[in-house]
Amino acid sequence: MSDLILRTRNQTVALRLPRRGVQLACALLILCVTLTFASVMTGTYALSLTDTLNTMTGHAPSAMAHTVVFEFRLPRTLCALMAGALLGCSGALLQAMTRNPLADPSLVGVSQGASLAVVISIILLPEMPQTLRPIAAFVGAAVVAALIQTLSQKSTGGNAMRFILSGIGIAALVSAITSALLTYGRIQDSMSALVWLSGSIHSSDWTDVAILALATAAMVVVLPALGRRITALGLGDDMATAVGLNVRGTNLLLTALSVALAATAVSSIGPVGFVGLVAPHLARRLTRSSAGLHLLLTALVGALMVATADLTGRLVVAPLEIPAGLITALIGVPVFLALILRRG
Amino acid sequence: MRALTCLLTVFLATITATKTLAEIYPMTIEHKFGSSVIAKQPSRIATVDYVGADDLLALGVQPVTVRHWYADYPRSVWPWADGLLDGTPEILRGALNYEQIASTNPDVILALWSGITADDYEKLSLIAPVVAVPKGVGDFSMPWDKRAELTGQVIGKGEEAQQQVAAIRARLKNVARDHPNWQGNTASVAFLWSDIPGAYTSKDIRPQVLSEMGFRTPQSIEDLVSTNDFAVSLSPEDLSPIDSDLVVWISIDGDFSRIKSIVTRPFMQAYQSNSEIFLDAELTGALSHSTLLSLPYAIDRIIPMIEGALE
Repeated sequence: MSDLILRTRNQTVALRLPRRGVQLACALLILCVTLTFASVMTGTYALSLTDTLNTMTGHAPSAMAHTVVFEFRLPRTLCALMAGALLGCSGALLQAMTRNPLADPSLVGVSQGASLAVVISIILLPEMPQTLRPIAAFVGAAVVAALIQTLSQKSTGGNAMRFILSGIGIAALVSAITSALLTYGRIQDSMSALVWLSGSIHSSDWTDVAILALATAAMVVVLPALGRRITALGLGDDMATAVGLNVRGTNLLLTALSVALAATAVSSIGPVGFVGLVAPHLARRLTRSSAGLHLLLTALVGALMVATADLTGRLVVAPLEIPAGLITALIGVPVFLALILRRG
Repeated sequence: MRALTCLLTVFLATITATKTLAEIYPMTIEHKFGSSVIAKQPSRIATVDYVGADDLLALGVQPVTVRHWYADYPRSVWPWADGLLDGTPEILRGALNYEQIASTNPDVILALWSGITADDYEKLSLIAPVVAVPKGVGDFSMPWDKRAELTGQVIGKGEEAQQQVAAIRARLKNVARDHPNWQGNTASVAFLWSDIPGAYTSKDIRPQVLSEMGFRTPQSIEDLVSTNDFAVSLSPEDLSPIDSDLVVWISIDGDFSRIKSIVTRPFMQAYQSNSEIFLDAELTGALSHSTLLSLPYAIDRIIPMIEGALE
């Protein structure tokens, strides 16, 4: 008996969980907490271990120590973790929906759509307050997703491959428009857009943390309920319909959720790529698990990926910081190639 | 009654004048992100400006941070400033690392030629009061004299800054007086960026320095202005907009081989009459910096070059 069975007293609700999956989830969660501590301990501003601990428990040795820990280090670490979780799950949902292991919000144009919207807001509407950027990103991502969905829709169904292919095409088009805008824009606006585009987390503040926390909380509530639908979808459209699933409705729901998660993450930390692609695969490699548990593991792996990328980017050539998006691309591209080669 | 009004006006004018001249702390500076209060005369000055070290060093202040712009000088500052810098301050490279700036424990942070964002401003303000560009001024378009004077005002050396600005202006005026044959001539400042030629408009500091010497920017360049009003791009097929009495080519690395091989260049009058000059990496940098230290250096070196080209 390697499964853990949870049931309420009168057996109205019962849940069967693979023991190894649960252990892994706990281990990953502990890793996340450890990484948070490591990240808060690390930085260019010299703070000893005791000073950091004292600061965290409310006995900061100086006002600056408090600022460094609570305004510089903690928000960016929390943002990295949560945005990573959102991106990972966004990728997992897209992969489940398209039944294609190469689907990723940064591959099929969803992230690019969010980026284009933000770049438009920076270059064409420089007066727009920065706080509206998440909404712009969301609209951009949603428009692109709707476009791909429409293009890949066929009366006969079976649109998964078309979704990916039109997505890649649209992604190229959207990136080209972004580049054109960067060339056309005033130099200072273009520079500001470029900094945002490289996906750095360094200017995250508590507002970003709050937005991401809301999104993460919503995700934790909604996703486990989707497990059964995803499992049914995995059987193929015909079989899924046969077992009573509304395939088209589920596809739309998964796409909408995936877009929402990616757009929220991208709007606060920039287009950090390859997390949505790699995290679901790593989670699957770790253990065989049900769809719901797989989403949870993916979220944790994604969180670890982005937080590690941010910490690494701060450490390798300190005090120069390498944006987290560049680090995830450095790791993500080889993994992506390996996945393609294995399939070929 | 009229006499009284007159007196009152004079009195008010004197008050305003002394208020802008004499540095009184706490000093409140209005800028594009709001206003910052500097409680007392700052002694530890951090700058996040790509050329920020120069004006501070010219005013006898050692910056606690310098921002790396380009070129590989060991302490990041350029040759005209290197001799004035003691030790090595924190060198800021790439995107701003707030902790690195915090670790220098600054009293004030200058951001007058830095392109900081609202996010950056908020984070930096947690470290020390930040002086950003005034409202309505572009991130990289504060004139060199205003930049130097504001720097001086913030650190309590306003008068000294004004004197140095006046001295440079006087230099330029003398240059103009000594070269009557330059007056009213056209001059363009041109460059080749990723194989696309371009030129600066009269809104840019480089043509502005030349204009103080008596040259004006050709109207053909001003006519091309679109989104960026300080520089325009040209087609390599037609360099005629930059053709003028004097063509000043600049280069960030001193390599002019690609410029010299633009096939349409020999069609320019300036080419045929040998009135092009090529500014090496250091002189290009000095003009681009346009600081209290780099301008005297640039003026000294460029005068003989122009004399040679226009004799």
